[in-house]
Amino acid sequence: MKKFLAKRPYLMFLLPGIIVYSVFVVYPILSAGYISFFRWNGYGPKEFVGLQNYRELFTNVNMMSQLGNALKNCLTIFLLSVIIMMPIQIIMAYIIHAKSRGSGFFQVAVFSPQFISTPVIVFIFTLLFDGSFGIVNKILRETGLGNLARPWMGIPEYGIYVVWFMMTWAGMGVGMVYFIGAMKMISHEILESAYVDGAGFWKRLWYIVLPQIKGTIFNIVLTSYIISMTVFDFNYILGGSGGGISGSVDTLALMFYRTAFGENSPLGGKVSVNAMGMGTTIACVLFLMVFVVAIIQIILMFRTKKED
Amino acid sequence: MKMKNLKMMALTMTMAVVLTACGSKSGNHGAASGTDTDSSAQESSQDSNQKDSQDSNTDGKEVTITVWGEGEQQALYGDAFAEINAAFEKANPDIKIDYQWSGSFDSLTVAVQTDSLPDVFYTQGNKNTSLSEMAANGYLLPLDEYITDTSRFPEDALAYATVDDVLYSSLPAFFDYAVVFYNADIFAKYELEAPKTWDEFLAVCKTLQDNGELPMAYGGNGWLDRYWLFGAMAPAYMESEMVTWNEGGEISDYAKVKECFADYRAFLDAGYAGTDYAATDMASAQLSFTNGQGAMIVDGTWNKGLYESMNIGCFPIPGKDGKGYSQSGPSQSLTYSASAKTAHPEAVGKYLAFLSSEEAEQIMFDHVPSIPIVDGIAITDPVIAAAAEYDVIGQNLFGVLSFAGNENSQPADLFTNDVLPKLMTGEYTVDQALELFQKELEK
Repeated sequence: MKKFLAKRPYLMFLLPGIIVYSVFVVYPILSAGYISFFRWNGYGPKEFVGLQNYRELFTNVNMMSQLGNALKNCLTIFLLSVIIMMPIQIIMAYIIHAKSRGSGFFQVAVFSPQFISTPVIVFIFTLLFDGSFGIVNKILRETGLGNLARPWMGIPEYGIYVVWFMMTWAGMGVGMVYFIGAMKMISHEILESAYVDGAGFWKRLWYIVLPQIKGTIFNIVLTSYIISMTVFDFNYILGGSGGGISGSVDTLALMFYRTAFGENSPLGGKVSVNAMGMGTTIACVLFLMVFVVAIIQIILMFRTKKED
Repeated sequence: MKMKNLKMMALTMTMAVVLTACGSKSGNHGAASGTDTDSSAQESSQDSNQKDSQDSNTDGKEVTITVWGEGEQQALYGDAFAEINAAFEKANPDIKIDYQWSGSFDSLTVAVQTDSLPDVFYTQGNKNTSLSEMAANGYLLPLDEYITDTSRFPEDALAYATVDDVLYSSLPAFFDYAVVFYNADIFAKYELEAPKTWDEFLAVCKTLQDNGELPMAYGGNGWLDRYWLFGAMAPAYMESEMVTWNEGGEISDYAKVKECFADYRAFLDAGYAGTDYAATDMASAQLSFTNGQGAMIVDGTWNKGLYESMNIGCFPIPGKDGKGYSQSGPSQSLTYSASAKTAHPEAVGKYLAFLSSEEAEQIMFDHVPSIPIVDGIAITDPVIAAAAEYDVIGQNLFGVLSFAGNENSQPADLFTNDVLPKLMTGEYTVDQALELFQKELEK
């Protein structure tokens, strides 16, 4: 053993990290996987059922309908993030990178919502958009547009867009900082020669900057996917564990929570006979959805590095 | 290189599997999985804990017991428990209370699964099946030898705290339910009085609406928010049906259920709750009511304190038969259970006995006035007195539906997450909502 470690001293450095990672990441994942093979309400004895929970999740009409709706909402957040938020992040990063006037202030202002916790963000938006005391509605009423005043935060049809909007407001700065970092890696000579050749501000972005930061773009797309698939807090605050009216803000993480822990209610309730078994099954399916994409990301990253 | 990677993967997987195996073993033990080995291990552990604690209690050493209060109700019960705990510690100087507002349904579930329940924790009694699940699996300390005098409490209170004739929770002393609070100034302005029948109630709404007032501030956004109005109406319309479901029976005639669905929908269609109720949550509805933007609101008697600054009155929702209907619901303000593995059963027993005492009840009542179900507490608050003037204690619909479910059906979930919201928004017609509801109940 000593010889083995003497030849591989790096293992000693890796060991603490591996132990912590195993206890706090690997163990819970495997533990959830293990429980998903049982029928268990969380209190009494477990009954081994093999893949029955997975079969039920994908064949039960009600479960499939919830799963499909939650997945649709998660993918909506992902697509909106990629199609709308990311281009804005790149443009803002480019403006800051180009050191336009006031870019320092701009950078801090855009990044600062990152320091605000989710409940406070929802509260801020409530102060703006609430039906009775929201500033936006007050302005609408004062300006004779009172017929447009509505409790915007709670309208079921807009639910998932409201979630996305708040997530975007809060998370805009993070992606932007990544893009600024990537842009700093671009050689100044290339940008200067493009400038000398007559490429304007936007042409330089399109033909020089974007191709140079495609690795970062790719990573941010995948990170957005992971965040979108696992979003919970905004949706829980807005729609409760039920995911809002007609599941308008339901997500996969909420579905897991609702199944595993049930509806919290001062009225009482009933512990579902398979709460933990089915809850962990949903968690495992969610994990696989994220894990597969993460693996693809790692493979593609290695491939890109090799090509470089 | 590939061989090395495989070895590393194998090592990691082995570690993970070992960790999982360890975890599952302890999990089974904690869950008292029903096997002989697990049960005996748990019993022996409990015996040893109890012995230790009895030693520590009798030698006069100071002990500290950890109590998990209901986290979400800290604002409501915070002052009351500060005073209750101080009074208990004064009477029992060798017992200190470490009261934490960390109890929630989730934290208790996780604590059960990880075998880390605190000494004492809040419970919903038999309003929730978790009490009987915990009792059946050996997680709870039986309290019969600690709470010896239960003669002051009515049968409902004992049923709330008992599983298989064993007492597992301190006893509820109050009753609360969803009433209709009204803005007395607005009512006085239009010379309105608290209605005695459903038709009078609709007439009051009509008068208010005709005068440009919003009759009912209603939050329909959250599942519980929207439940209150329907939950209050249910006993007035279908009490006998709910009794049948509660007893495990089935009904053949859904006419009264349909009538309740239809009148709920008609109430909303008439505009008595405004137009944006689906987008409004309970907090916004409460704010509208306190701002005078809604003349009435259906809310729990426990929330009466929210409207303290207003001139309010209240009435139980009236039925078409002219009776005022409440919904059964012992208050969980003073109901706590103890872990079977507590190291201090004597101290815990004393604390839970104190929570079931007149002294603790009076303190709670002084801070959060509710309808007492035990003798010795006089109602002085006129609003609470009005709430206590119900004619019928009806069923709690959510509780009834929860217990009516089985392995194949979850009528409570279906009702709260599908039937009621879609009936409210008009996505389901009354017939569609009824068909789904009936189908689920008959599964």
